[in-house]
Amino acid sequence: MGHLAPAFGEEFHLASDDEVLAVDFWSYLNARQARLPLGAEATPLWDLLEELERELEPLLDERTALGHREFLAATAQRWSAEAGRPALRREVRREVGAMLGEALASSAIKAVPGEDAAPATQGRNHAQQG
Amino acid sequence: MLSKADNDLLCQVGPGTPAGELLRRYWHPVAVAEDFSPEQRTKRVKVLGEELVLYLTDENTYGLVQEACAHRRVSLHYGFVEGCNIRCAYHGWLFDERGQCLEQPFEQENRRFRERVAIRAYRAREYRGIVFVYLGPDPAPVLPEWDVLYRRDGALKIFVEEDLQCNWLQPMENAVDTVHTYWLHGHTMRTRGLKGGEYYYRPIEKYSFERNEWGILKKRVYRNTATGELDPEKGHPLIFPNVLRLPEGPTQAMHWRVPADDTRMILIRASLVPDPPGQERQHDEPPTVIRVPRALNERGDHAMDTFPSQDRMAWETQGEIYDRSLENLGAEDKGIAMYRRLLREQIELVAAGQDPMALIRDPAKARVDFDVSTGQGRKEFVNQAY
Repeated sequence: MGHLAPAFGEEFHLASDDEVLAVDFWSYLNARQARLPLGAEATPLWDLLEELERELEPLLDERTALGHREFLAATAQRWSAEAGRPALRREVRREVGAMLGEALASSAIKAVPGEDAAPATQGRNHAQQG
Repeated sequence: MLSKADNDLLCQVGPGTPAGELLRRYWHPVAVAEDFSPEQRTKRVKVLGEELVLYLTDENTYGLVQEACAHRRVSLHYGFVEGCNIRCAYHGWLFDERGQCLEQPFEQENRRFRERVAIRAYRAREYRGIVFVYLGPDPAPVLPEWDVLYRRDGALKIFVEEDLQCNWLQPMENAVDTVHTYWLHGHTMRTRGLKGGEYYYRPIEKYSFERNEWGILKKRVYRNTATGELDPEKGHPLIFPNVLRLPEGPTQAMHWRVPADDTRMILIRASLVPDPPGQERQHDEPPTVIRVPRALNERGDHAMDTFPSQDRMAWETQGEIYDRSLENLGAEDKGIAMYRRLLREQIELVAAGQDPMALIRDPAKARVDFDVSTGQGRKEFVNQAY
C-alpha cells in the first residue's frame, strides 16, 4: 500500500452529495496523475490510474442506470477485492477501492441536515457562475 | 511540478539538446511566401536556436543556410541569390543549397581549401503559401499536407503573429489545458462586453485526454444550461509535437508553435473558412496573409480583447521560461502532465535512434484529415473571436 501518498484523507475534501462525490473522486485520481514524476518509472502507476478513471466514467457520462451511491459502492467493492496480477495493479486497485469506500462511508455520515456540502470541482463551480 | 533538470530537458531546443533533437525530426513553418519578391529574396529566420537565412531561388524554390558567412561571418541576409546559390555581399564567396562553398573570387584557385569550407544548410519547401523548414537528419520525412491547407472548399487565411516572448512549451501546454477557455476567453470576453466567448462560457462537466497516433485528443463535455442535457464535444487534437488543430467558430484552423530559441516563439495560424452551402467553389487563389501585431492597450498591458491577446498574456506572463518547480498541478492539469510524459517518451525514442511519433514516411499518406468538434460552429455559437 501507499502508492498514492500523501494520505488520501489529507487531500480529499468530502462531499455530502453522491453526485458531487463521484466527480470529486474522479478528479482526485486525475490530480494524482498530474502530480506523478515525469520519469518512465511512474508510467505503470499513470496507466493504472487511467484505468480506474475509465471505470468511473460511465457514471459521469450518464451511461449507467445505477444510482450514484450504488455505482460507487459496487466499484469500491470490486476494486477492494482485486485479486489479479500484476502485484502493482492489485495493490493500487485495492488502495483506491479502500479510498472510495472510505469516502462513501464518511459522506454518508456527513450528510445530515444543516451540513454544508463540500465545494465541488469542475462543472459544479462553473454552473454556479456561468 | 518539474525539477530544473526536467524543465531544461523539455524546454531547451538548441542543437544537441534532447528536445531540440526531437523537434528537428519535424517540418516547421517559419515564413510565408509573401515575405519574398524579386526585390526581397532573403529573410532572416531564427529557428530552434539557429540563426539562418531563407532565400528564394531563381527556380522559385527556397534555400536555407546559416546566416553567417564561413569567411568572416558577415550576414548572408544581404547576399546575392544566383540560381539556387547565395553569394556573400562582403567578398563574394558563393555557397550552394547544401552549404558547400563553390567560389572564393579573391583566392587563388585552391580546390582543397574551397571544398573544406561549408556552412550549415537545411531543407525548405513552400506549401500553400507557407514556407516550411526541416533541420533534422536525412532522410527528411514527408511534408504533411494537412487538411486545413490542402482543402480548396474555402478561403484560406494565414495569420503570422508577432513573435512571442516565451518558451515554446508554454503555448503547447495551453493546447492541452482544456478548462482555461472558461475564464481566459469566456469570462474575459463577457466582462468586456465582447462577443465570441459564449461557447466557452458554459459549465464544463468533464474533460478527457486520449493519446492517438497524432498526439493527444482532448474533449470536453459541456452542460447545456437551457435543456440540462450533456453536450459532449467530438474533440480536437494536439498534433505532436507543436501543432494545435481546432475549430474556431465556423473555420477549421491549425496553430503552429515553432521555437525560435529558448525564449522566443514563432506563431503561424492557418484558417480555412468553408464556403456556405450553395456557394461552394474551388479556391485556387493564394491564401490571404494577415500580420498580427502584439496587441497592447494605452497602458502597455495586453489588450485582452481577442483570444490571441488573451492567450499571449497567459503565455508571456508565465515568464520567458516558465519555472515549473514552482507550480501546483491539479486535476485540470492532467492533459499537461500527459503531454510532458509524451514529450519525454519521444525524446528518449529519438535518443535511441528511432523515429518519434506523427512522422510521415510514405508519400502516399501525405494528406492528413481530422474530424474535429463542430461545437463552436453551431449556429448559436458562431461568433468570430479570432
